[in-house]
Amino acid sequence: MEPASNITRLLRAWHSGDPDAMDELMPLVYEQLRALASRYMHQEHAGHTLSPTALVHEAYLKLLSAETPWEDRVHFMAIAAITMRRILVDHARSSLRVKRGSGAERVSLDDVILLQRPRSIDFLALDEAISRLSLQDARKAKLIELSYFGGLNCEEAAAAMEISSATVNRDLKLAKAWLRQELSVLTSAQKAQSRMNGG
Amino acid sequence: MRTLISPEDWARLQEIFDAAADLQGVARGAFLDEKCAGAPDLRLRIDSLLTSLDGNTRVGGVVGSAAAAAIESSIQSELPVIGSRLGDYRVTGILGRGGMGIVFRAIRDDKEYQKEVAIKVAALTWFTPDLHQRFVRERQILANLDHPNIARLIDGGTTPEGMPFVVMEFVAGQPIDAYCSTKGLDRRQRIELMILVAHAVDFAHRHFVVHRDLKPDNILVAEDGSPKLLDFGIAKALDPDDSALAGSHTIDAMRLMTPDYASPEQVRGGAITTATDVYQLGALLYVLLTGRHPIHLTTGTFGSLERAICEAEPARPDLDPDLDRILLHALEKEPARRYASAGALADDLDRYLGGYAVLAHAPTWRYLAAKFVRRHRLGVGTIALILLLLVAFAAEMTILAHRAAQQARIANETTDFLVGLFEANDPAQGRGDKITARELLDKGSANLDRAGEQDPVVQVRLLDSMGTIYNTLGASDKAREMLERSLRLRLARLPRDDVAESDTLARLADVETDLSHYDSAIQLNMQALAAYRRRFGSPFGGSDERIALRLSKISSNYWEQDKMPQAEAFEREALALSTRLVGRHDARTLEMIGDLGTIVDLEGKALDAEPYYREFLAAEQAQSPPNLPDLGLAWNYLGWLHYRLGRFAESEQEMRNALALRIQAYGDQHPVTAGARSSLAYILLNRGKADEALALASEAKSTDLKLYGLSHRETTFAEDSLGLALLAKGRTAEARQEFQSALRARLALFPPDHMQTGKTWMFLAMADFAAGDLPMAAEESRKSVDIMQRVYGPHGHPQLAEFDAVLLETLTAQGKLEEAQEFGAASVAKLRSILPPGNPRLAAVESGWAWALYKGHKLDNAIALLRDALLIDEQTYGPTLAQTAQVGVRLAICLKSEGRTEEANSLFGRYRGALLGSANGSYDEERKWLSAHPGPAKAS
Repeated sequence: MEPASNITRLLRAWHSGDPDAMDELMPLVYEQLRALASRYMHQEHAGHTLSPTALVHEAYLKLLSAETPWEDRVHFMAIAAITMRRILVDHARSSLRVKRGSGAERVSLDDVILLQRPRSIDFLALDEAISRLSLQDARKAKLIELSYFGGLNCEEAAAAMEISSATVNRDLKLAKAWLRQELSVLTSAQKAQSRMNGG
Repeated sequence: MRTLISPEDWARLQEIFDAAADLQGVARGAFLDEKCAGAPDLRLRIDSLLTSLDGNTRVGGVVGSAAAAAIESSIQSELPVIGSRLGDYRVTGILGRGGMGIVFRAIRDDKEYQKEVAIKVAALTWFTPDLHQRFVRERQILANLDHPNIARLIDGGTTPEGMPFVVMEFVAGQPIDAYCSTKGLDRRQRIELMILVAHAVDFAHRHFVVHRDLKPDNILVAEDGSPKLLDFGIAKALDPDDSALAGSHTIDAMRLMTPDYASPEQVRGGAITTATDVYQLGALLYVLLTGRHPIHLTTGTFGSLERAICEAEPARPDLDPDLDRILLHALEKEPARRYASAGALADDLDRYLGGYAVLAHAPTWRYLAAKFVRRHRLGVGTIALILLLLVAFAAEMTILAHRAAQQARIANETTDFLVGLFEANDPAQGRGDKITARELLDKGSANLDRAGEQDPVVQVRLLDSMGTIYNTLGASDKAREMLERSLRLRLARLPRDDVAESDTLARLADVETDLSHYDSAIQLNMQALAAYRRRFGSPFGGSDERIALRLSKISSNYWEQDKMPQAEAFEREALALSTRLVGRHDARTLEMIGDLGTIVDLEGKALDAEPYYREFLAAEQAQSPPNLPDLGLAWNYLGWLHYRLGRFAESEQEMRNALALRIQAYGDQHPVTAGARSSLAYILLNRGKADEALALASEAKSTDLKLYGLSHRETTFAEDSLGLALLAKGRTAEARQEFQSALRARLALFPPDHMQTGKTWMFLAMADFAAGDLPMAAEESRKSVDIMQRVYGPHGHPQLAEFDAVLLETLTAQGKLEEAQEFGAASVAKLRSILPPGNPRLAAVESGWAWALYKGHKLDNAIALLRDALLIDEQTYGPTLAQTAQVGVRLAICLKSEGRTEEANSLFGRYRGALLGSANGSYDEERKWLSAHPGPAKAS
């Protein structure tokens, strides 16, 4: 079957409540994102401007045909957002392991720090903050995921969540402020912690 | 810390937050005082959230960095390790990442001396030829840039993992912005530093290179205060060969640069020109002088970035009016309105420092030209492409001049020149909209003739570009004229520049090759090669792939002349160097692999050739998206290989694949498609599919005639196939005409002792034999065998088999039985030693020799030979092809004359139909015999 129509079918199944469809969709999206991501990296200067949402958009262009109905597109991007977040979390965790564990034998410790700037910590903190936000307000956390990991615009996010655009705007404003606050608190707490440890 | 609150409190918080977010200052405070009265905890939370609302922790930034880190880590496993060696260098550390690679610190540590270098490895595990090429291009670009303020290229190579690297001068210094602040440079010193940078950029422009990623990290300043430009990672050559592809280099422009210094055209995906660097120099100077970026970029989304860069006017720097004007002029949104060159920017800064009036805001010719182009919109297609090429050239012309007066003059000249071209398409001149690319070019070259007093630099470049375009259009004579004029002009009026001269020589060699002037092409190629080697040569072969390319071109020239040992030697050298410089999977290396395979193949070492072909095919099949032309080529190679090995069924399928791909890649009416049709037709004749072969060959020839006319080598290939198809259909006289026409062309194109000429004599002999003109056939056939023996030497060549067979048949038919028997015996002995067993060409000679023996009443030997030949033909062609049937009938005739009627009759029964059904005049004798001896079925 054509990949596009296959994905469209899975999207519909997922949306109409078939949980297995997600299990089938996820690997497809994952692979596509990974392939695109590695291409981006290899296309120079990714470190400066790589945008996961651009990846999601491109994955969508690769996997779905131009005729795909708008709703399917929104659903696809919602799934891609979840996938993207998972990919990044998995990676950030494993890179922490590398830093602390044995993976550093290839290069000296200095080089590891140079290569993997301490971003993974920031990112895992962000991820945890989003998870905490979802305990407080699941919808807002979902919206953050859709817009930052999936690149959905306000209208698309509204469609995905079946709420109004005005609500999306309102929710996002608070959610972003909340996350920033969480992160700044965390960062200063971490700094204090590391000072105490003499690091 | 407890951050979660009850849903009720959360809802209340949201409500108050929303309302407060829209208020400012005192109003906000008053509002909060009222709403949060008695809830200090809530007030604290909301205050903190409102602060965060205006804060600058960017969620998107954190996510983006995480994504970048995730991706970067995927490539680290294949990178060199600290302490390991790369060529002559030992890796000592990591300097950082840049462009598409990682930069190592390393030292060259042979006994002689120790020298610190920076090695940039293209860390690409997922290495597409496209990226590979881009990296190699960087290497190429750097090799051409020898300037004190540009980091120098020292060497290049490929890691054991196949990642290409460049070795560069190690620059100990700090980024220009950090340098300015740590040294506490004042405004004047900062401007002076940037003038040096602008001159270096200008130098790059004059070598037809745009940096397009100028930013502090790429400009290091050494302790002594001299700046060095680094990282041409995404630099773009403005080379004429490249500018045709200009559009393709600018895709994904946004991803390729740092948004802080991105120009509007980069964000929009517009054409990247030298004006892009002018913008970036302006942005950099703005930052160095004001401490701010010209455009305030806040949010990270794509759209908002694009809008800000393309629409937001830069904040007035407020330095002083002249300096403000200079900066804003460099930062114009419209590329055509900026300084015409980095040199012009540097000059204006000089003027500013010297207290002279600055020129910022004088209208530039580019602006006018761009407006002109807009007024005279042209259709798409070739004309547009050629105009783009010429416009790109005109753009380059301006940067050649960095003195204002000269600039103005050249600008006018190039503008006039371009305007002249456009006028050809001006409806006011009564031409309407239709104009061919050729007309446009002719008009251009006429203008060039008239513009006698043009700057020689301008003229040389225009001549070179027009020469190339003419050749692309197939007007090789005109191309040669342009290029020769360019060379003469360069010699007479320009300072000596061996490399630039060689580039023109190389183009001229390619034109000569297209004109089939191989001796002259070799001489020109050798001349260019020698110059490249003087400049880029090294004990490993050299650091510049132009060396490899010329080696390969020389090989092709020798190949065309059938000087295979030379062709093989040059191709092997080219392949080794190209593998080292650009890697095994680069398209150019692959082409050499294919060529080497073919050369080895043509030398008669078919089995040695197969691995090269297979490597080529596998590499092409692995490409995604596929490169259709090269995939077609890969099948074509294998098709011919299997043809030569007598594996016709495989060959047919491969040729069909090739043809399908060619049609897809080139369209129906293209010389390459025509070539594929000719080839398939040739193979089909060995598959008994003469009708299809005839149709294909006719179509191929009519395409070639349209594109090339008679007397072109492409046309002669179609004529070969067409002639053979006609022969198979019994249209012997027409066949002869085709062969005659091919012979005329080849005698003009090649030396008399050439494989192609020899082959054509054999075809003529076949036609005359079929027509029953035996003396003529004998003469032509002898000629062909003689030529082939002179070409390939007495040791023989698989190709010779066909030629021997024709001569053998002719001698026998003439009744020169002794000579035929002797020649047959020698030929079969020779072929058995050089052909793999079961080759159908051996069968043809065995059959010919057997027939001579039969005529001389030596039946025993004849029968044995025919049995062997029949076995081979049955396996190769099957029973229904005339080739097999002829051998079968001959065997039956021999058996019958020995009295073994039963076996003979069964053979007659099996092959009679096939032979009578063939119209090919070559089988007339056997057909006559069959008619005179009605089959047993009819007799009984």
